[in-house]
Amino acid sequence: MSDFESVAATELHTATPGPAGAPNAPGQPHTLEVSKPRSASADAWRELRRRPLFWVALVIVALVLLIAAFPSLFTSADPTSCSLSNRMGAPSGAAIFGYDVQGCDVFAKSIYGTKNSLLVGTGAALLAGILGMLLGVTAGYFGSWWDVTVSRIIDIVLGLPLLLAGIVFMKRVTNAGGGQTAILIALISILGLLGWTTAARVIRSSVITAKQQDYVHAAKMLGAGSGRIMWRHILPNSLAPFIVIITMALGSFIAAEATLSFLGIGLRPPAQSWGIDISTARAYMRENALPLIVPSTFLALTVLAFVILGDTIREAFDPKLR
Amino acid sequence: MFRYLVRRFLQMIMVFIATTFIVYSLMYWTGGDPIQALAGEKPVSDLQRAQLTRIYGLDQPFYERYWNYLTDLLHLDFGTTLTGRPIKDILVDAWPITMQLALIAIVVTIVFGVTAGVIAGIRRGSIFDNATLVLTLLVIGIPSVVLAPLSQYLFTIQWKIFPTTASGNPTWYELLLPGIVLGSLSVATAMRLTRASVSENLRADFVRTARSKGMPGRRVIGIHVLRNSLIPIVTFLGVELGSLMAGAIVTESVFNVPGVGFQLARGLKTEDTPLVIGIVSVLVIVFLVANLIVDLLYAVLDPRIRYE
Repeated sequence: MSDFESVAATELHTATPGPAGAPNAPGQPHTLEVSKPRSASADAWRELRRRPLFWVALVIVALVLLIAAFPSLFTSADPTSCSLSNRMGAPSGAAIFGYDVQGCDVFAKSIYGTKNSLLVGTGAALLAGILGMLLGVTAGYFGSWWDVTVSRIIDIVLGLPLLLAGIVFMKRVTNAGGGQTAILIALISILGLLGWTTAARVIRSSVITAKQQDYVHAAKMLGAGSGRIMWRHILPNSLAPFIVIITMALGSFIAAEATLSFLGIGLRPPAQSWGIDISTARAYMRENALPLIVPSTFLALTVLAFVILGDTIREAFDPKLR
Repeated sequence: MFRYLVRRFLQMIMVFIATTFIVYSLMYWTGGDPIQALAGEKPVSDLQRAQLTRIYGLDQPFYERYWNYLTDLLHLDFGTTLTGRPIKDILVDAWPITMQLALIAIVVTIVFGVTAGVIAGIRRGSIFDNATLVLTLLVIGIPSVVLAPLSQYLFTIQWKIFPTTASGNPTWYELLLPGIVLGSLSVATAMRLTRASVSENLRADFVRTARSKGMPGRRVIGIHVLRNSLIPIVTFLGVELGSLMAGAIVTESVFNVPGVGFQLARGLKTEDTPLVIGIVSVLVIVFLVANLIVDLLYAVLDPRIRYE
């Protein structure tokens, strides 16, 4: 509470216009900046820049994206060329984390597994984001029967726990015996179709609040169409919580992909996935724990980075949480 | 209140019908031939096929089959597995074990999550507060597919504190580690929720009134703050039941605990579609009922909430 007050006090202090003097005087270019009230997002950015946790998470996310895009930059080994003579081989210069039960390079497998995890995570987050935004904004803006319909659909989707519905759906897809691409698309669509509800709810309620604001009425009176009002006036105000939810959802989608692959109904063995690696390594962990620890660390760090990123952004945008 | 009850109940029925419809249509469109799956590798003659199709009602139209599935569900008949065992029997054996596990998980959540949340909420900004915040962030970020195998490795193989796997009829001691792993998934969220609502309630007018009346601090916290802070936590625990069940699939199969999640994972591994669908339907119903109970508890806990 006390730190909240002190933050508020400093905000007040910096927001008060500087002492008398020409605002545009040459030599004092910063006076204008001080006297100008900062926008909420600029404020949040100032807050974010100071947080080391934010930068750590950002660096991990960037690194993981780089690994996913160019896995060959990080390892010269091929994760699919395994030799049983290397079975459970100890770490060496060639394979820094040794070999697994099939004689595959543990590190290379985890590096190449990054791509599928991120593909599913970002794909599902994108789908969930688009669905959540479209349905949330229109339900909040138009109200009446459309709002009722969307709200009931949200209730129904919330009645299906993500993993359980994912299991039934993925069971159906893997029974049908599709290829890797079909499984990837199925994973993205099922996680996206089940994961949009929180985003839609948040957007809907903030649209309902924003709809009654004076600036929206003003825009309407100036003749702006529904589309323009939603896109230019209402959406920017609901964007911050939306970004936070989608970032955190991305982390949970990556975890869900690993879980489904772990249970044997996600990606299948010729594909590289952390979930598959963890599942196979588990049976042999008494013999060699590294094949279990390495993909676990990759998965935990990736999910953690997205969760921390979302969390720090939320704290920056919500002064009550500071 | 009565009107709200009726409305909420009707809403639950609608959600129930829709979710079972989704689950059933997914099963209906499942690729593969159920009769061939039943026969395994053996060839099926036309006569046998026709007979089995009749027995299992596979010749009926979709809506009729869905209706049969729904009425069977309501009669607590969840079908039989591919090996011919009634799923109800499996559930009767597995439920008590999962409930034991869930009980440990919830106790862990309350003891660690809520207690830490209350302390952190009272002493906001202290070292304890900041340390637990960072710690909870770590726990939130680690999915159960990582936490369960790693803790199994660390606490049962590296340091032999707990048994590695549970037996067919697990004791409380065998269930302790899986229960803690399962509970730790919700500890973090419980702690954050408690912290936020305690520190918000501490600033509320009724707390200031109680203080100025000269009420001792312990009583203010225990009666005025805690009771009101409990409300979001109760909802959270109800909603968390869904992810608890999902987490139980991984935790139980890792620790070999013969609960519902273990049976579900086994059904997935042995390609036993009826078993998977049966268990998922039951879990979805449990989830819906838990949410309903939570919504009703809401009104009991918070006198300000009176539904029209």
